[in-house]
Amino acid sequence: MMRRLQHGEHERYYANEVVYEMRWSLEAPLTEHMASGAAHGGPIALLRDGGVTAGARLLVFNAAGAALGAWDWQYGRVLTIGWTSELQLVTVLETARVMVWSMQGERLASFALSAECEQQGLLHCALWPGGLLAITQAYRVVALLGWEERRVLKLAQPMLGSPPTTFAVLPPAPAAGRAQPEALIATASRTILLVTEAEVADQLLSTGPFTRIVPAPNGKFIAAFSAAGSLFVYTKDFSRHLSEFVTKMPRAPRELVWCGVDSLVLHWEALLLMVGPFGDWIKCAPRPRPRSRPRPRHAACDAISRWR
Amino acid sequence: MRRDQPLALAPNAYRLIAGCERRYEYAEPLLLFPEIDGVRIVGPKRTELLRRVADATEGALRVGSRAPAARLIAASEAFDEGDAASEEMRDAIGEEGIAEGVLACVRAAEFELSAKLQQRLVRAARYGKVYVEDRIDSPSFARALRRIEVAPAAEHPP
Repeated sequence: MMRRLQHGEHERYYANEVVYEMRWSLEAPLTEHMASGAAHGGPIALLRDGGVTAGARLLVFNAAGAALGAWDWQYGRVLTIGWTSELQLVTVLETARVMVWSMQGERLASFALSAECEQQGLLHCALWPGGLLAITQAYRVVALLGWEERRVLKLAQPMLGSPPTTFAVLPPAPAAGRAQPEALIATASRTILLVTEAEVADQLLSTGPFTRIVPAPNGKFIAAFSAAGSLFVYTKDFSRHLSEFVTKMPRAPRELVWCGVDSLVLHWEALLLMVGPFGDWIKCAPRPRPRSRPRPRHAACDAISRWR
Repeated sequence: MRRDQPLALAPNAYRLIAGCERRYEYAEPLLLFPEIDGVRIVGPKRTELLRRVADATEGALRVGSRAPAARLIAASEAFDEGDAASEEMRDAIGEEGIAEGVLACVRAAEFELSAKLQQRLVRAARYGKVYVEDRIDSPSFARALRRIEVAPAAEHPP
């Protein structure tokens, strides 16, 4: 199905197509799981309730939902899971222990991030295929580079007085002139801090506090969702904001992801919303159920429903 | 597998959706994974790929499109139906237009997930190429077609 989104003077069309009928049958709703999907239609890992319930299992499926591996989880609360570029599954525990698994559940490595992290415990963690970045419970920022050589990099200390409201990692991008990973940390004082190895730069915003920050895949834009329910798109240096879209949603979206570099998709429990960089939007759903209230019949709608 | 169903192919859906604002509800919550060309939307029953429609696809398939690719498709389909008007339609596009249309059809086919629609685009490209042989880089044309054949072949192994 095609939908149209206004991009300034241009229109962009979007289509959602069914690519797989899922072969899995899950015992619990998808969203009760911690989940990670590898890039380029890669495998999906699911772990129910962060791995704390008795009998928790780590489940790995291919993109069509066929089981690839499943193993018992008895290592305690998981902070985050993600995939390396070699399609190995990384699990990061609250205790700063990092475990690397094959898709079938063979443990390939298990190590502590650093002695300092182990002592403090982790508060947040984000992965990219080549490493991870963590914030400890004492608000120190530490990155791990490479799953083999495991170089630990300490970033500048952000001196927070309260927990960050959210954060995002900017992975190393040599082409964009970023040799080391950097962190964007949203604070309760409504701004965002850019933390690099050398310094902490306050971006002097007053539109927060933010509950979601997501950099665009091309690194040129930063999307940030505020506690007041607005979606902002900033240039990467925060020198100006390209758009503000007021959703009036009281809660942060469950998911906020870029669709290419042209638009953003927000997901709440019962709503999928797509917002363009200039604030135009569409709502959509894979299996639409129209409102029960009678609506004026529209020839267009009939024509569309033919295609379902 | 419903890939072959013309969800994305309905050329008239392009035009229609725009004026048709509807509210939708989800029966089930979903997982969203960013992909290089869009978003993978994973539900308990199916996975969908939400992505921008490539400019080439839009030019070739949007209703009322006057892009060379769209006109080439019309001419090629008229030809397949044995319609004598196909020659007139082809002449009206002009040699430069045909060359542009051939490339656009191939590019659109490369973005396309549906084998059926891919075939339609490739057929038009092959039809057009004959008339502008000297303007088309044949090796790269052949390479593109080979790439295009991979997806349906993977989906329906022999």
